[in-house]
Amino acid sequence: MYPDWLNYVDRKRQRNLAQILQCLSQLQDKKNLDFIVIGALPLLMRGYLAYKVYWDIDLLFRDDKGIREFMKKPKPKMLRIVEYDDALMVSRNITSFHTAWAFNRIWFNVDYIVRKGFFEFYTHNIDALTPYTESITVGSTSFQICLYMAHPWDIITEKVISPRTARDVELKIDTSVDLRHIFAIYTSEKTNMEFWHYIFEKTRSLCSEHEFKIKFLKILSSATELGYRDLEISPDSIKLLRE
Amino acid sequence: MSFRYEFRLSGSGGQGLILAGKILAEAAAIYDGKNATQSQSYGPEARGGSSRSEVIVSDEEIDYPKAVNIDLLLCFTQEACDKYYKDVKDTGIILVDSSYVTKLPQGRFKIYTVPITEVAEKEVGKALVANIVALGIITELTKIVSKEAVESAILSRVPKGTEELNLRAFNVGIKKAQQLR
Repeated sequence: MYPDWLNYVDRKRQRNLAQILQCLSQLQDKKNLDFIVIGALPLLMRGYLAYKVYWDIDLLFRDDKGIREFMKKPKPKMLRIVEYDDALMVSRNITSFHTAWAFNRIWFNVDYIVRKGFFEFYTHNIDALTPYTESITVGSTSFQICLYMAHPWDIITEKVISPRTARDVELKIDTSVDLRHIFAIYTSEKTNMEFWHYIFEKTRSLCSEHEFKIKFLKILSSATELGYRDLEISPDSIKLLRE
Repeated sequence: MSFRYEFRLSGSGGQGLILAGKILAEAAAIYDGKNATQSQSYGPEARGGSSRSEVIVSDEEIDYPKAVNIDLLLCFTQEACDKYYKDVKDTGIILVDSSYVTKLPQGRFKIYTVPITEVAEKEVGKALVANIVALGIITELTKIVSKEAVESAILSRVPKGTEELNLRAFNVGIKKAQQLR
């Protein structure tokens, strides 16, 4: 099968992305989850984003040790991994390690990330989280993907309360990727009551529902100023956020 | 004959250099049909700490994705300039934002100084588009990626309501570079 979202991946890179996702599917420990795919890719693969850029792969680990163990895990011989960082980049709440993966000479950025508390946030309902499962055919080759990825509703919940998003709104950064993702998910889900119940419930593990609602309202009310003048804000969603 | 061109965009977090690197790579690969890699690294604090984006453009597939011999170095902070100028080729280019970089390095490379942030603020009306102004200067100075490709890549990254502002910033950068020649 050739999924729609693959049309938003540069044609030259489609096969390589599928091959890397297949490799990650094999590397991911499904019984004792060691990492989960976060960032833009789950949104692209779930149909929320529809534009062509250079997609990165972000892997969220439980802790620094989890990254180190993953780095040691045996990988296919044909896979080349180039490390951009000399060591794990550790700051107060985030650890990151930037790499590039290739099976030939088409490189994909694969970033290993740890964010305090967020692995649990994304995986606590793992039993309800269905892995993305697909057989992707590019050219004459099929790639088997079975990969746990962050739930898009979790992604928006996190992004709404992120200090980075608050800063982007404050400074009116129209190129903010986080805001773009928030508006894309909102556009798809704004009339879906199940969505609203889910995110109000889920945010409680990160901050109060009241704080979440205020932040979401501020983001929506800044949409025009940020360049999203076409965003249709549903009065019902505003009502929900004001409750 | 094949070519490989290495860009390093350096400064501090929040200056939009990672995004600029992505746009440059997307312009080269998606819209110009070349091959490109883009990498990023942040200092200990993502916002306010150091930030670096590297882009490699080649007409052939790229065997090694790390920059080793810089053709163009963009510096948005003095610290970045002091740290990275040694990696620039003798025939390379250093572009500094003279709004922040005052002490220029010595070497055989060519140095261009432009008050990029000031230009963005005065001529475009928004200091935050300094990264896009810089992209315009880089595009015109190097001619490695076409103007049209960079414009398309910018448009794919910005919302409709700010397309005009960002394209204006890019073209201001192009004009600045033409004045430098």
